Amino acid sequence: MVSSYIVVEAIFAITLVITASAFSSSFANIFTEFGDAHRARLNELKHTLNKRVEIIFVHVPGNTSELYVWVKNTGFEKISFAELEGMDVFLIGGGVFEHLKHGSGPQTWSYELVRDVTADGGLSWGETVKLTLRPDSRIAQGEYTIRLTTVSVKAEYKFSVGG
Amino acid sequence: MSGFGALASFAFAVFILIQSFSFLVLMSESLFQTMAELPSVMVQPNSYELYLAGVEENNVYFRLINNGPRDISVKNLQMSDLFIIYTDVQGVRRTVRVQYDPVNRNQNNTWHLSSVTYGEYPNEIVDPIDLTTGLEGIWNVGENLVCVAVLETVVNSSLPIYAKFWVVG
Repeated sequence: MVSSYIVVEAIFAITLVITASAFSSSFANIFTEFGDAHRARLNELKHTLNKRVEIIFVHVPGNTSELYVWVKNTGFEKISFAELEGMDVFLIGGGVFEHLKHGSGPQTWSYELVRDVTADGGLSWGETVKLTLRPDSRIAQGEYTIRLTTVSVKAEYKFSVGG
Repeated sequence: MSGFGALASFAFAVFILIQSFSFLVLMSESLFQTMAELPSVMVQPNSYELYLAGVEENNVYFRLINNGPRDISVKNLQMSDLFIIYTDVQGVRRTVRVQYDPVNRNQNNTWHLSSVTYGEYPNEIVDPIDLTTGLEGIWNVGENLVCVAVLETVVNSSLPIYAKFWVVG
């Protein structure tokens, strides 16, 4: 009688150990996944903050079909001129959708560094570059969006013409 | 259940709790460490205000206020951007980017510092800015930079002037 109690209790204890292990293991997995997801999100945020540009001003002169856009590097990492030249520029709005590539002539854009403070062969933190956009058609009255995209940075700016 | 079974159950419950707590502490520490590595200048950028103070011929007077949260070096003004939209006396609306140039103070489309105040009080209390070079010193939180922009044409002061200022730091 006593021995059967010991057997039952032993079985109960073993079941308890297995259940507890499974439970703690699943808990550990949940916490690990939670931590990994947050760490990945933070790393993404860090990358976004380190490599970031902002369009700070857009000017559309009345007498030309060109458009001037000032872009500032507000991230800590330098953006090389090669990366800058590979940038895609989109002009959307007013019945227009244009994809501009770096170069000269219609549907292109070019750039000049407004002040190269660090002279390190790229767009460093805080430096500004002036883009000259040459869309295929003249900018008419309306609301527009400019979108800049490279492999690692993107920026968007809304503006309107006329009125 | 005997005393042994109850003790074992309690011990395992405590074990699970300790393990969960340890995981939580380790994860939180790791996450806080990752967050701490983010540069504060990026997480909470400084804010600045620009107030137009007056116009005289082709000179536009304005005040810049550092609202913080950090003090910045005036060297950073070299990388600043100031855009002014104004109407000249001929009635032509002009949009210009005005460059910070503390050396060539009479050059067109440049701006420089004329004085520094703390709120309404004249002069600075800490970290003085060298107004001669315009490149040394600290622009502390709460300090006003009294500035002059020299434009290429005479400004029509009866019409509105729009100014937009950007600096990193």
